[in-house]
Amino acid sequence: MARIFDRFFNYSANPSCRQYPNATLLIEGLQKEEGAAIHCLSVKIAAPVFRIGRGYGLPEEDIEELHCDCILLFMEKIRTGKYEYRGNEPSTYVIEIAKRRVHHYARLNRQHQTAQLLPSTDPPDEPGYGSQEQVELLAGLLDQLDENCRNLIRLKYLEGWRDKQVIAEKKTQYTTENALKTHRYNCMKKLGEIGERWKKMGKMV
Amino acid sequence: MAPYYDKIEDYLNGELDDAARRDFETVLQSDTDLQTAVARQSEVIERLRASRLRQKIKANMVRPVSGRVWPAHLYSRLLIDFAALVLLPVAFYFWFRHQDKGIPVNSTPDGQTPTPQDIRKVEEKTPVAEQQPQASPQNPSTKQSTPDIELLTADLTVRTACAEVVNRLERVDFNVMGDARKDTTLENKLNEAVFFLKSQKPAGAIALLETVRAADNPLYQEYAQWLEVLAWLLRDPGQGKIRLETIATDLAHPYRTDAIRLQRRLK
Repeated sequence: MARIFDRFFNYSANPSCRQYPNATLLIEGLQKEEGAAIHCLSVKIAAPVFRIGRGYGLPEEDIEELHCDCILLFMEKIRTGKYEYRGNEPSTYVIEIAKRRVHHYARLNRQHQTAQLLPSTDPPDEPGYGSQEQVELLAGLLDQLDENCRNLIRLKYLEGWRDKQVIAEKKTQYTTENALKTHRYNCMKKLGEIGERWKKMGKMV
Repeated sequence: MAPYYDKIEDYLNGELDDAARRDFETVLQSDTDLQTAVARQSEVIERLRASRLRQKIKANMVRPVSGRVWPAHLYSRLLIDFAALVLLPVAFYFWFRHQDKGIPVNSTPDGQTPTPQDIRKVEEKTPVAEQQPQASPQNPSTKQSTPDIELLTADLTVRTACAEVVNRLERVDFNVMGDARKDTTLENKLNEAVFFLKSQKPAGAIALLETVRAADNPLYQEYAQWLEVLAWLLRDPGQGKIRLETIATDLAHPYRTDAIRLQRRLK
């Protein structure tokens, strides 16, 4: 039904996508990490990705992670300039990423039975620091810091507050930008050191 | 803290100006400790950025609702669209049904709407109107002749030209206060006749205009005559043209110029 509206009435059934009538605008939106652009892409690829995942018998939670990973990978590719727009719908590209990942997953699971029968493929791209495991590791790292440091890092890097805004709205105890920056630098340094320690212990890659 | 270490964050976030950045990079090339600190902080920032992005994606992601993947708002939108698709044709159907009856949908406030009997009288007077089979108990499905059906068969050119003139007509305001001949009832009737003409209901207009002309008030005679011509042109172009000729040849008629212009147009 939604496709009929799109095709015949030039009416997007997805309100988020009305801001992005063409692929170029959508890619620009994703580059700026706009929530509406992410939502638009998510709606476009949700049905095929869930169909593919269910086709391979993946549990719903894994399909949700796959859905998220595909969008993340696509946004990473746009950011690093690895994605080249050639007039195709971006959702098609993301669905291909999903197919490759699911196929690779299935191949790994079946390798002991039919390793020689399945066509060999290159391993698909991984989301790197954005993967679920890495995000959980980072959360573990942040838990090692004190409350003040966690707050400073969360405001700047996880919630996207500007230093001026933080000072103006008195989100922390610091009254100048320089003091805020210096303390945050120390916190980041501590975080890096804990990360290094974890790497040496084999907890983290 | 060493002098350049507090600038690492600004450098990595691209917040240094050109001169400061060049300065920082010069020091960075020679200072291995700074290089390690930059690399470590860069990794931390990358991890934080990726984590934030993942959170953002999860917050904006569509999750399957009872096995389907459409967002909830889509159901309500589709329901509204579907209702509109069904209701619009029904509304149009009833609107056209009203139009077919040849009787105005809204009666006027002062109750001057001509009755169906008035309209039938006018229809009977129409000399060239084709005789349609009358509805009878034996043949109830036979539809009676209605003005609109005749309109459809009338000369399209005449109707178009006439409709243009009619559309330019405005509500009559004779502005003759103090004149003993002023008659508000007749003025209302004229205005209703204009309304009927604009609604493409010439039979109703003719019925009203006949009552105005019967009142024999010289103040409104010429205007009523002109409207009657327009109504007849819409209803029966043959009759209408004859009446139009009458006005066009009457040198004293105030609507003579309009009549000649319309005549030229029809030729």
